[in-house]
Amino acid sequence: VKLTSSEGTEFIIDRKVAEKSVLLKNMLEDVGESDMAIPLPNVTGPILNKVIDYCTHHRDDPFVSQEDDSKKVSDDIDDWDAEFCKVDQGTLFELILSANYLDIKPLLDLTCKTVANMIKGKTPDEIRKTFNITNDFTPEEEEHVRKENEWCEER
Amino acid sequence: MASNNIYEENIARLPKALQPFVQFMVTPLVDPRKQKESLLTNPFALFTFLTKKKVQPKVFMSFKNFDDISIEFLSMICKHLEPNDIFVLSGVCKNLRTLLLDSESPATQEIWKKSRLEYCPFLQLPAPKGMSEQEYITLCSTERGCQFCGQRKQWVKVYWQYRVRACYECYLPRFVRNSYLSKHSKNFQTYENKEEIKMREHYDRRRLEHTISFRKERIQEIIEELEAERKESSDDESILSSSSNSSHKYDAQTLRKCPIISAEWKKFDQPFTSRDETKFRKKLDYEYQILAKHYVS
Repeated sequence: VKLTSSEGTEFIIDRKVAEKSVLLKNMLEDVGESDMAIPLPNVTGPILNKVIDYCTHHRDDPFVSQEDDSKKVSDDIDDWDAEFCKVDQGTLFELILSANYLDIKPLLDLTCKTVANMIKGKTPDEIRKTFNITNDFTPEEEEHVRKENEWCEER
Repeated sequence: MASNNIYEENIARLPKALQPFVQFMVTPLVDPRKQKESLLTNPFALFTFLTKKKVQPKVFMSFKNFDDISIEFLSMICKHLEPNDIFVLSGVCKNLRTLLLDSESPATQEIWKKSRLEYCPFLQLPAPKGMSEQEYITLCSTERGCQFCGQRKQWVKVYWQYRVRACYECYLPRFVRNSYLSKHSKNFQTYENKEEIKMREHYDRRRLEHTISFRKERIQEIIEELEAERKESSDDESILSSSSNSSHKYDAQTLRKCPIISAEWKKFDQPFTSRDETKFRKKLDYEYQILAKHYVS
Protein backbone atom coordinates (compact mmCIF):
# COMPACT_ATOMS: atom_id res chain seq x y z
CA VAL A 1 0.00 0.00 0.00
CA LYS A 2 1.34 3.38 -0.92
CA LEU A 3 0.77 6.43 1.23
CA THR A 4 1.62 10.05 0.53
CA SER A 5 2.23 12.52 3.32
CA SER A 6 1.37 16.18 3.15
CA GLU A 7 4.72 17.13 1.59
CA GLY A 8 4.30 14.46 -1.04
CA THR A 9 6.75 11.95 0.37
CA GLU A 10 5.72 8.44 -0.51
CA PHE A 11 5.70 5.57 1.93
CA ILE A 12 5.23 1.96 0.99
CA ILE A 13 3.94 -0.26 3.76
CA ASP A 14 2.43 -3.67 4.29
CA ARG A 15 -1.28 -3.99 4.07
CA LYS A 16 -1.32 -5.56 7.49
CA VAL A 17 0.48 -2.57 8.95
CA ALA A 18 -1.86 -0.19 7.22
CA GLU A 19 -4.84 -2.01 8.62
CA LYS A 20 -3.97 -0.90 12.13
CA SER A 21 -5.57 2.33 11.05
CA VAL A 22 -9.30 1.98 10.86
CA LEU A 23 -9.48 4.77 8.32
CA LEU A 24 -7.09 3.04 5.95
CA LYS A 25 -8.65 -0.33 6.63
CA ASN A 26 -12.08 0.87 5.62
CA MET A 27 -10.63 2.66 2.66
CA LEU A 28 -8.86 -0.45 1.48
CA GLU A 29 -11.97 -2.51 1.91
CA ASP A 30 -14.07 -0.09 -0.06
CA VAL A 31 -11.67 0.68 -2.86
CA GLY A 32 -9.49 -2.39 -2.91
CA GLU A 33 -5.76 -2.34 -3.34
CA SER A 34 -4.42 -0.34 -6.23
CA ASP A 35 -1.20 1.24 -7.34
CA MET A 36 -2.53 4.65 -6.54
CA ALA A 37 -1.00 6.21 -3.47
CA ILE A 38 -3.41 7.20 -0.75
CA PRO A 39 -2.96 10.87 0.00
CA LEU A 40 -2.89 11.87 3.66
CA PRO A 41 -2.85 15.65 3.52
CA ASN A 42 -3.32 15.86 7.25
CA VAL A 43 -0.12 14.09 8.22
CA THR A 44 3.43 15.28 7.69
CA GLY A 45 6.24 12.98 6.64
CA PRO A 46 8.14 12.66 9.92
CA ILE A 47 4.93 12.06 11.82
CA LEU A 48 3.74 9.48 9.34
CA ASN A 49 7.10 7.80 9.73
CA LYS A 50 6.55 7.58 13.48
CA VAL A 51 3.05 6.27 13.03
CA ILE A 52 4.26 3.57 10.67
CA ASP A 53 6.96 2.65 13.19
CA TYR A 54 4.29 2.19 15.78
CA CYS A 55 2.01 0.17 13.54
CA THR A 56 4.86 -2.05 12.44
CA HIS A 57 5.81 -2.81 16.01
CA HIS A 58 2.24 -3.53 16.98
CA ARG A 59 1.22 -5.29 13.79
CA ASP A 60 0.47 -8.56 15.52
CA ASP A 61 -1.44 -7.15 18.45
CA PRO A 62 -5.00 -8.35 18.72
CA PHE A 63 -7.55 -5.81 17.72
CA VAL A 64 -8.86 -4.07 20.80
CA SER A 65 -12.57 -3.51 20.77
CA GLN A 66 -14.10 -0.24 21.81
CA GLU A 67 -15.63 -1.50 25.05
CA ASP A 68 -12.93 -3.17 27.04
CA ASP A 69 -10.16 -0.65 26.52
CA SER A 70 -11.49 1.90 28.96
CA LYS A 71 -10.54 -0.20 31.95
CA LYS A 72 -6.82 0.13 31.50
CA VAL A 73 -4.88 2.29 33.90
CA SER A 74 -2.48 4.85 32.62
CA ASP A 75 0.57 3.21 34.15
CA ASP A 76 0.62 0.15 31.97
CA ILE A 77 2.72 1.56 29.18
CA ASP A 78 5.27 -1.00 28.12
CA ASP A 79 8.91 -0.15 27.54
CA TRP A 80 8.79 0.08 23.79
CA ASP A 81 5.82 2.40 23.92
CA ALA A 82 7.42 4.56 26.58
CA GLU A 83 10.52 4.86 24.43
CA PHE A 84 8.32 5.64 21.46
CA CYS A 85 6.72 8.51 23.32
CA LYS A 86 10.00 10.15 24.24
CA VAL A 87 9.62 12.88 21.67
CA ASP A 88 9.18 16.58 21.93
CA GLN A 89 5.74 17.90 22.69
CA GLY A 90 5.02 19.26 19.24
CA THR A 91 5.57 15.82 17.79
CA LEU A 92 3.53 14.22 20.54
CA PHE A 93 0.58 16.49 19.86
CA GLU A 94 0.85 15.91 16.15
CA LEU A 95 0.91 12.20 16.85
CA ILE A 96 -2.34 12.57 18.76
CA LEU A 97 -3.79 14.53 15.91
CA SER A 98 -2.83 12.03 13.25
CA ALA A 99 -3.76 9.04 15.38
CA ASN A 100 -7.17 10.58 15.72
CA TYR A 101 -7.35 11.23 11.98
CA LEU A 102 -6.15 7.80 10.99
CA ASP A 103 -8.29 6.26 13.71
CA ILE A 104 -5.63 4.19 15.41
CA LYS A 105 -7.17 3.63 18.81
CA PRO A 106 -4.21 2.14 20.72
CA LEU A 107 -1.85 4.83 19.51
CA LEU A 108 -4.33 7.51 20.45
CA ASP A 109 -4.71 6.01 23.89
CA LEU A 110 -1.00 5.71 24.33
CA THR A 111 -0.24 9.29 23.38
CA CYS A 112 -3.08 10.68 25.47
CA LYS A 113 -1.90 8.65 28.42
CA THR A 114 1.57 10.03 27.99
CA VAL A 115 0.25 13.57 28.07
CA ALA A 116 -1.96 12.72 31.04
CA ASN A 117 1.05 11.37 32.92
CA MET A 118 2.83 14.65 32.29
CA ILE A 119 -0.04 16.46 33.97
CA LYS A 120 -0.69 14.16 36.89
CA GLY A 121 0.00 15.39 40.38
CA LYS A 122 1.37 18.72 39.32
CA THR A 123 0.52 22.25 40.34
CA PRO A 124 -0.72 24.74 37.75
CA ASP A 125 2.69 26.39 37.71
CA GLU A 126 4.44 23.15 36.99
CA ILE A 127 2.01 22.36 34.23
CA ARG A 128 2.61 25.76 32.69
CA LYS A 129 6.31 25.10 32.72
CA THR A 130 6.00 21.64 31.26
CA PHE A 131 3.83 22.69 28.36
CA ASN A 132 5.20 26.18 27.88
CA ILE A 133 1.86 27.79 28.49
CA THR A 134 1.81 31.49 29.16
CA ASN A 135 -0.07 32.53 32.23
CA ASP A 136 -2.70 34.90 30.88
CA PHE A 137 -4.54 35.52 34.12
CA THR A 138 -4.45 38.94 35.68
CA PRO A 139 -3.08 38.96 39.23
CA GLU A 140 -6.59 39.30 40.66
CA GLU A 141 -7.87 36.37 38.63
CA GLU A 142 -4.85 34.36 39.60
CA GLU A 143 -5.51 35.08 43.24
CA HIS A 144 -9.09 33.96 42.75
CA VAL A 145 -8.02 30.71 41.12
CA ARG A 146 -5.44 30.12 43.81
CA LYS A 147 -7.99 30.57 46.55
CA GLU A 148 -10.35 28.23 44.82
CA ASN A 149 -7.65 25.64 44.50
CA GLU A 150 -6.45 26.05 48.05
CA TRP A 151 -9.08 23.62 49.19
CA CYS A 152 -7.74 20.84 47.11
CA GLU A 153 -4.04 21.73 47.13
CA GLU A 154 -3.36 19.60 50.15
CA ARG A 155 -4.27 16.31 48.75
CA MET B 1 -13.58 59.98 9.75
CA ALA B 2 -12.37 63.32 8.50
CA SER B 3 -13.41 62.59 4.94
CA ASN B 4 -16.77 61.50 6.17
CA ASN B 5 -17.28 64.81 7.90
CA ILE B 6 -16.63 66.71 4.70
CA TYR B 7 -19.26 64.60 2.99
CA GLU B 8 -21.70 65.14 5.78
CA GLU B 9 -21.43 68.92 5.55
CA ASN B 10 -22.12 68.76 1.85
CA ILE B 11 -24.94 66.28 2.31
CA ALA B 12 -26.68 68.65 4.68
CA ARG B 13 -26.83 71.22 1.93
CA LEU B 14 -28.53 68.88 -0.52
CA PRO B 15 -32.30 68.60 -0.88
CA LYS B 16 -33.78 66.38 1.84
CA ALA B 17 -35.05 63.76 -0.59
CA LEU B 18 -31.60 63.07 -1.98
CA GLN B 19 -29.81 62.87 1.33
CA PRO B 20 -30.30 59.16 2.15
CA PHE B 21 -29.14 58.10 -1.28
CA VAL B 22 -25.98 60.16 -1.14
CA GLN B 23 -25.36 58.97 2.36
CA PHE B 24 -25.54 55.42 1.05
CA MET B 25 -23.09 56.23 -1.72
CA VAL B 26 -20.43 57.53 0.63
CA THR B 27 -20.58 54.98 3.40
CA PRO B 28 -17.39 52.93 3.54
CA LEU B 29 -17.52 49.46 2.06
CA VAL B 30 -17.99 46.45 4.29
CA ASP B 31 -15.01 44.61 2.89
CA PRO B 32 -12.20 45.21 5.38
CA ARG B 33 -9.64 45.58 2.60
CA LYS B 34 -11.60 48.36 0.92
CA GLN B 35 -12.68 50.40 3.88
CA LYS B 36 -11.28 53.61 2.48
CA GLU B 37 -13.47 53.32 -0.58
CA SER B 38 -17.13 53.89 -0.94
CA LEU B 39 -19.63 53.31 -3.72
CA LEU B 40 -18.80 56.76 -4.97
CA THR B 41 -15.14 56.01 -5.57
CA ASN B 42 -15.65 52.38 -6.51
CA PRO B 43 -19.07 51.85 -8.08
CA PHE B 44 -18.18 48.26 -9.03
CA ALA B 45 -18.44 47.37 -5.40
CA LEU B 46 -22.17 47.08 -5.97
CA PHE B 47 -21.55 43.97 -8.01
CA THR B 48 -19.28 42.16 -5.60
CA PHE B 49 -21.85 39.41 -5.28
CA LEU B 50 -21.18 38.57 -8.92
CA THR B 51 -17.47 38.04 -8.49
CA LYS B 52 -16.61 34.61 -7.31
CA LYS B 53 -15.58 34.18 -3.74
CA LYS B 54 -12.04 33.02 -3.35
CA VAL B 55 -11.82 29.47 -2.18
CA GLN B 56 -10.18 29.45 1.21
CA PRO B 57 -7.38 26.94 1.49
CA LYS B 58 -8.52 24.16 3.72
CA VAL B 59 -7.26 24.64 7.26
CA PHE B 60 -6.65 21.49 9.21
CA MET B 61 -6.97 21.42 12.91
CA SER B 62 -3.71 22.57 14.32
CA PHE B 63 -2.41 21.12 17.51
CA LYS B 64 1.18 22.13 17.86
CA ASN B 65 0.94 23.82 21.21
CA PHE B 66 -0.92 22.98 24.31
CA ASP B 67 -2.52 26.40 24.01
CA ASP B 68 -4.67 25.61 21.03
CA ILE B 69 -5.93 22.30 22.30
CA SER B 70 -9.50 21.56 21.33
CA ILE B 71 -12.13 20.05 23.53
CA GLU B 72 -12.02 16.68 21.78
CA PHE B 73 -8.38 16.08 22.54
CA LEU B 74 -8.74 17.52 25.98
CA SER B 75 -11.43 15.00 26.75
CA MET B 76 -9.27 12.18 25.45
CA ILE B 77 -6.44 13.23 27.71
CA CYS B 78 -8.62 13.91 30.72
CA LYS B 79 -10.00 10.40 30.47
CA HIS B 80 -6.79 9.34 32.17
CA LEU B 81 -6.81 12.02 34.85
CA GLU B 82 -8.30 12.17 38.31
CA PRO B 83 -10.79 14.93 39.09
CA ASN B 84 -8.14 16.58 41.21
CA ASP B 85 -5.77 16.85 38.31
CA ILE B 86 -8.46 18.19 36.02
CA PHE B 87 -9.21 20.79 38.61
CA VAL B 88 -5.58 21.83 38.74
CA LEU B 89 -5.46 21.87 34.97
CA SER B 90 -8.37 24.28 34.88
CA GLY B 91 -6.25 26.78 36.79
CA VAL B 92 -3.50 26.86 34.22
CA CYS B 93 -4.68 29.36 31.63
CA LYS B 94 -7.80 31.12 30.49
CA ASN B 95 -8.43 28.86 27.57
CA LEU B 96 -8.30 25.70 29.67
CA ARG B 97 -10.39 27.35 32.32
CA THR B 98 -13.22 28.16 29.97
CA LEU B 99 -12.99 24.73 28.40
CA LEU B 100 -12.97 22.82 31.65
CA LEU B 101 -15.29 24.78 33.88
CA ASP B 102 -18.14 25.36 31.47
CA SER B 103 -21.13 23.97 33.29
CA GLU B 104 -23.33 24.25 30.21
CA SER B 105 -21.25 22.40 27.68
CA PRO B 106 -22.11 18.69 27.47
CA ALA B 107 -18.59 17.82 26.38
CA THR B 108 -17.14 19.38 29.52
CA GLN B 109 -19.66 17.64 31.72
CA GLU B 110 -18.76 14.40 30.03
CA ILE B 111 -15.10 14.88 30.89
CA TRP B 112 -15.84 15.33 34.57
CA LYS B 113 -18.31 12.51 34.63
CA LYS B 114 -15.93 10.04 33.06
CA SER B 115 -13.21 10.97 35.47
CA ARG B 116 -15.58 10.72 38.41
CA LEU B 117 -16.86 7.30 37.44
CA GLU B 118 -13.34 6.07 36.89
CA TYR B 119 -11.60 7.45 39.94
CA CYS B 120 -14.22 8.02 42.63
CA PRO B 121 -15.60 4.63 43.59
CA PHE B 122 -17.89 6.22 46.14
CA LEU B 123 -19.34 8.83 43.85
CA GLN B 124 -21.09 6.58 41.39
CA LEU B 125 -24.49 8.20 41.76
CA PRO B 126 -25.32 10.85 39.18
CA ALA B 127 -25.01 14.47 40.16
CA PRO B 128 -28.03 15.89 42.00
CA LYS B 129 -30.46 17.86 39.91
CA GLY B 130 -29.34 21.34 39.01
CA MET B 131 -25.78 20.74 40.03
CA SER B 132 -23.01 20.60 37.49
CA GLU B 133 -20.56 17.74 37.60
CA GLN B 134 -17.70 19.85 38.82
CA GLU B 135 -19.78 21.36 41.60
CA TYR B 136 -20.80 17.90 42.65
CA ILE B 137 -17.26 16.61 42.62
CA THR B 138 -15.80 19.55 44.47
CA LEU B 139 -18.52 19.39 47.07
CA CYS B 140 -17.72 15.90 48.13
CA SER B 141 -14.40 14.86 46.76
CA THR B 142 -11.72 17.36 45.85
CA GLU B 143 -12.40 19.81 48.62
CA ARG B 144 -12.20 19.11 52.28
CA GLY B 145 -13.09 21.04 55.36
CA CYS B 146 -16.17 22.86 56.50
CA GLN B 147 -17.67 25.35 54.11
CA PHE B 148 -18.64 27.71 56.92
CA CYS B 149 -15.68 27.89 59.25
CA GLY B 150 -13.17 26.81 56.62
CA GLN B 151 -11.40 24.52 59.00
CA ARG B 152 -10.30 21.06 58.20
CA LYS B 153 -11.92 19.62 61.26
CA GLN B 154 -12.86 16.09 61.87
CA TRP B 155 -16.19 14.69 61.01
CA VAL B 156 -16.98 17.12 58.29
CA LYS B 157 -19.94 15.76 56.45
CA VAL B 158 -21.96 16.56 53.38
CA TYR B 159 -25.53 17.44 54.29
CA TRP B 160 -27.26 16.49 51.12
CA GLN B 161 -30.62 18.09 51.76
CA TYR B 162 -28.93 21.50 51.81
CA ARG B 163 -25.96 20.60 49.65
CA VAL B 164 -23.41 21.91 52.05
CA ARG B 165 -20.33 20.40 53.56
CA ALA B 166 -20.12 21.35 57.19
CA CYS B 167 -18.87 20.33 60.56
CA TYR B 168 -21.52 19.63 63.14
CA GLU B 169 -20.85 22.79 65.12
CA CYS B 170 -21.50 24.95 62.10
CA TYR B 171 -24.38 22.93 60.82
CA LEU B 172 -26.42 22.88 63.98
CA PRO B 173 -27.14 26.59 64.49
CA ARG B 174 -27.55 27.32 60.79
CA PHE B 175 -30.17 24.84 59.72
CA VAL B 176 -33.52 23.88 61.03
CA ARG B 177 -34.05 20.22 61.44
CA ASN B 178 -36.23 18.29 59.07
CA SER B 179 -38.52 16.99 61.76
CA TYR B 180 -39.26 20.52 62.87
CA LEU B 181 -39.96 21.62 59.34
CA SER B 182 -42.28 18.80 58.48
CA LYS B 183 -44.31 19.61 61.56
CA HIS B 184 -44.62 23.31 61.01
CA SER B 185 -44.65 23.83 57.30
CA LYS B 186 -46.33 21.45 54.93
CA ASN B 187 -45.08 22.70 51.63
CA PHE B 188 -41.45 22.74 52.61
CA GLN B 189 -39.27 20.82 50.22
CA THR B 190 -35.57 20.26 50.10
CA TYR B 191 -33.74 19.55 46.92
CA GLU B 192 -33.69 15.81 47.07
CA ASN B 193 -36.22 13.27 48.02
CA LYS B 194 -35.54 11.11 51.01
CA GLU B 195 -34.59 7.98 49.13
CA GLU B 196 -31.92 9.79 47.20
CA ILE B 197 -30.45 11.37 50.30
CA LYS B 198 -30.35 7.99 51.97
CA MET B 199 -28.47 6.50 49.05
CA ARG B 200 -25.97 9.30 49.00
CA GLU B 201 -25.42 9.09 52.73
CA HIS B 202 -24.91 5.39 52.40
CA TYR B 203 -22.12 5.94 49.90
CA ASP B 204 -20.63 8.66 52.07
CA ARG B 205 -20.53 6.30 55.00
CA ARG B 206 -18.84 3.66 52.97
CA ARG B 207 -16.27 6.13 51.81
CA LEU B 208 -15.65 7.18 55.39
CA GLU B 209 -15.13 3.59 56.41
CA HIS B 210 -12.72 3.19 53.57
CA THR B 211 -10.67 6.28 54.43
CA ILE B 212 -10.50 5.31 58.09
CA SER B 213 -9.29 1.82 57.44
CA PHE B 214 -6.93 2.98 54.72
CA ARG B 215 -5.28 5.50 57.03
CA LYS B 216 -4.83 2.93 59.77
CA GLU B 217 -3.44 0.33 57.45
CA ARG B 218 -1.09 2.68 55.72
CA ILE B 219 0.39 4.08 58.93
CA GLN B 220 0.85 0.58 60.23
CA GLU B 221 2.55 -0.42 57.02
CA ILE B 222 4.93 2.50 57.09
CA ILE B 223 5.97 1.79 60.67
CA GLU B 224 6.56 -1.85 59.94
CA GLU B 225 8.51 -0.95 56.86
CA LEU B 226 10.74 1.39 58.79
CA GLU B 227 11.31 -1.16 61.52
CA ALA B 228 12.47 -3.67 59.01
CA GLU B 229 14.83 -1.24 57.38
CA ARG B 230 18.48 -2.00 57.79
CA LYS B 231 21.31 0.36 58.29
CA GLU B 232 22.86 1.37 55.03
CA SER B 233 26.50 1.35 56.10
CA SER B 234 28.31 0.79 59.33
CA ASP B 235 30.33 3.98 59.22
CA ASP B 236 27.13 5.92 58.75
CA GLU B 237 27.21 8.86 61.09
CA SER B 238 24.10 7.87 62.92
CA ILE B 239 23.43 8.52 66.54
CA LEU B 240 21.72 5.24 67.10
CA SER B 241 24.78 3.10 66.59
CA SER B 242 25.62 3.39 70.25
CA SER B 243 22.11 2.86 71.48
CA SER B 244 21.52 -0.47 69.87
CA ASN B 245 23.76 -3.16 68.52
CA SER B 246 21.26 -4.46 66.05
CA SER B 247 21.58 -3.66 62.38
CA HIS B 248 18.16 -2.10 62.19
CA LYS B 249 18.09 1.52 61.27
CA TYR B 250 15.28 2.31 63.65
CA ASP B 251 14.73 1.03 67.12
CA ALA B 252 11.16 -0.23 67.21
CA GLN B 253 10.34 0.96 70.70
CA THR B 254 11.68 4.44 70.19
CA LEU B 255 10.00 4.67 66.85
CA ARG B 256 6.62 3.92 68.25
CA LYS B 257 6.99 6.63 70.84
CA CYS B 258 7.12 9.38 68.22
CA PRO B 259 4.23 11.77 68.84
CA ILE B 260 3.44 12.14 65.15
CA ILE B 261 2.16 8.59 65.01
CA SER B 262 -0.56 9.13 67.55
CA ALA B 263 -1.29 12.54 66.10
CA GLU B 264 -1.87 11.09 62.66
CA TRP B 265 -3.66 8.16 64.17
CA LYS B 266 -6.19 10.45 65.75
CA LYS B 267 -7.19 12.01 62.46
CA PHE B 268 -9.33 8.99 61.70
CA ASP B 269 -11.51 10.36 58.99
CA GLN B 270 -9.04 12.44 57.04
CA PRO B 271 -7.88 10.89 53.81
CA PHE B 272 -4.27 9.81 53.91
CA THR B 273 -2.85 10.86 50.57
CA SER B 274 0.58 10.45 49.10
CA ARG B 275 1.38 14.01 50.06
CA ASP B 276 0.36 13.30 53.64
CA GLU B 277 2.51 10.23 53.52
CA THR B 278 5.69 12.05 52.55
CA LYS B 279 5.05 14.62 55.25
CA PHE B 280 4.46 11.88 57.77
CA ARG B 281 7.69 10.10 56.89
CA LYS B 282 9.71 13.29 57.17
CA LYS B 283 8.21 14.25 60.48
CA LEU B 284 8.66 10.75 61.83
CA ASP B 285 12.30 10.69 60.89
CA TYR B 286 12.85 14.07 62.47
CA GLU B 287 11.13 13.15 65.71
CA TYR B 288 12.91 9.86 65.87
CA GLN B 289 16.29 11.55 65.68
CA ILE B 290 15.37 13.79 68.61
CA LEU B 291 14.01 10.94 70.67
CA ALA B 292 17.00 8.76 70.00
CA LYS B 293 19.37 11.51 71.09
CA HIS B 294 17.32 11.99 74.18
CA TYR B 295 17.53 8.34 75.15
CA VAL B 296 21.25 8.13 74.56
CA SER B 297 22.10 11.00 76.81
